[in-house]
Amino acid sequence: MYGLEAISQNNGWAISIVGVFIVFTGLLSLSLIIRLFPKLIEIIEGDKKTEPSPSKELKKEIEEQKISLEIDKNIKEVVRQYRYLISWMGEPFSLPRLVDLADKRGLVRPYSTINKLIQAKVIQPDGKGLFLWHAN
Amino acid sequence: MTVEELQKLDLFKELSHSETAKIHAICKATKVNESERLFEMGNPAHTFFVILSGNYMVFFSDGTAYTLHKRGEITGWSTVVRPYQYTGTAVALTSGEVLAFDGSELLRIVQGDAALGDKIMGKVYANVGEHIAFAQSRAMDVTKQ
Amino acid sequence: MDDILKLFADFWSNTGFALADYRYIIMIAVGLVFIYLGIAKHYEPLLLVPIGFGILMGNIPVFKGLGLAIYEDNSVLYYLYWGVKSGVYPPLIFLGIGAMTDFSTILARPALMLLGAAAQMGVFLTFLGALFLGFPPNEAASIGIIGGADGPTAIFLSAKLAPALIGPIAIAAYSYMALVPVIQPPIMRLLTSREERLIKMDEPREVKKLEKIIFPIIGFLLCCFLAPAALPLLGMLFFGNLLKECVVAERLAQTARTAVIDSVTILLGITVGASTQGDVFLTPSSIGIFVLGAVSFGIATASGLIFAKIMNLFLKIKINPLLGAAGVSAVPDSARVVQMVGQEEDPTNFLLMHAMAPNVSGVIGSAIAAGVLWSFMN
Repeated sequence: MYGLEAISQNNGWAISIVGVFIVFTGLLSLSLIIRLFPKLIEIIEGDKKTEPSPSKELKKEIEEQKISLEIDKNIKEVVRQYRYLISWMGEPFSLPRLVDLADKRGLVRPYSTINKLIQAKVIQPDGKGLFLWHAN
Repeated sequence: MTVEELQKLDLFKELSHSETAKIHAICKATKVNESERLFEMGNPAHTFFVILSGNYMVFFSDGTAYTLHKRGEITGWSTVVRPYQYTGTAVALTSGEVLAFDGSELLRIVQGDAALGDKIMGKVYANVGEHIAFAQSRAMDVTKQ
Repeated sequence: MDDILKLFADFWSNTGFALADYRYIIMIAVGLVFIYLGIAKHYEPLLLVPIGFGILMGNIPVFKGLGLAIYEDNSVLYYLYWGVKSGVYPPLIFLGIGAMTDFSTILARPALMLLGAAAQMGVFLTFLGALFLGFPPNEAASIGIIGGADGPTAIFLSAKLAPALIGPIAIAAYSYMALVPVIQPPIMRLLTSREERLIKMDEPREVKKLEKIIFPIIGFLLCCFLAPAALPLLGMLFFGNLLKECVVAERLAQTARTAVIDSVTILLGITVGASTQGDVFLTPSSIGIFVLGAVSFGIATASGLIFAKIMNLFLKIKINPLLGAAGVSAVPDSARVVQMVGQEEDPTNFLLMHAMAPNVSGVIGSAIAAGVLWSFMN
């Protein structure tokens, strides 16, 4: 059987319409729930703010464990620019290629900037000579 | 850098004073600037480097790389490991200081003194073991050029 | 002397040279082309090289009954192929995909998920097209999922609904995925104006770590409650993502996105390639599948683009309609194509990050579509 008759005989129209509807419903529902995430996080973190602050010793320990990223001016913009480059390259990415692309795009001091991102574990090796972006 | 300071580096910790003195005679502390290349892939391996300060990246023709950040880490060890030519390119990510060893002199010491050679090579392999397999797999590209 | 000659004759009659016919030669040529495209042209090398070599392996003419060919019981390839037929390999690949995917682009702008949904129209319109051409419903559904542009999903659904078509469907799906940079741009230029292509997107908001941890859990529960048949694929996708985002299981995430996905990709590629034996693959229905596959990619691209333009009728802040093409879930190639076409008009227009949102939501959408089709066909 061929043609429109085959589609009707096999319930094709109904399956397609319902199928599209279900896919849209699923992703629409998910997107609506995701829109609530910032409020949900606010509620959760709002509770956290009322907790007693950690002791001085614990604070010192936490500070020592943190890997500090030297706060350059416009650091967020720098991180965003590198993120764009990496997204364009795809992950895992080649570190020397990232340096080259950053240099060609006129980003200031790409070598030391990338070193800072590595030290802050924003860029991490994948164990095979390529690197991954670990956004937080 | 004095012989005593050299002996504090992990690579030379097990050497006697006289052995370290032999090594000290062939090394030179060198300052490097950001983006400066220590060595280029494919060139004969003349110089062997021990990091004193700064951060470095070693990369290969296929775009893979690893980075070095700690004092005492080694790079340029193709000076003492086949194929005796650099399998990657080393570049300084930040300004720093390295200890450069003349490759042919180091090789002569290593080959001429089995005990000393065994101590140094053991340390080299312990220090860079994970990088050797990685880089030597890329040595095929270099040796074919 | 006669015995020796007879032995030589028997030996010769069992060689590939004696057993070959034109179909094997054609398929070997196809396999060589795949290998060439993968190695020399870098078209999806991680897929085309194993599939290409698998085609070579599957089309060595062998004497049936020796347990060598993929369709013979107890052959090595038969056992390796089990992961494809049973539908085990695709969820494992999804585990790795989840462990390497950053969903923050969706979280930053959830409305872009709808573009991923719109692109799945390609699945259902191709399903109708396959029915129109006379394919039975289960085969039509398997062919339709090619429009989801997701290789593991296509193989998964074909294994469940039309195992005999796994070979041509997989070859078609992966071939067109590799050709996304060729197929999509003309459609994108045709369906959008220059002014629309120049639209710059606003900076996405910063996404917090906790959101990225909650998302895979909520996403999994919602999608699988709605379409339980998508459980194997989406369960593994979201599980892999949770492993990545929770940080405490980074070792498992690392294994999932390296050793697991690479091992399964090798086995899946080589066995899918080997399943395309000339006498099984070179049939009129395979030609139909290839034609429908190309059409499905085109329809999916067009659906996403048109839906983006429709969304712009209601949005105060317009989105660049090129993003609709990224709803075709060939991650990240279709997102890169969006970036490329956008930058043809304005080199400072960085669309890649924004295009990743519909791109990854397309993966979720195609898995839901597969689950829906599977449940309908059962």
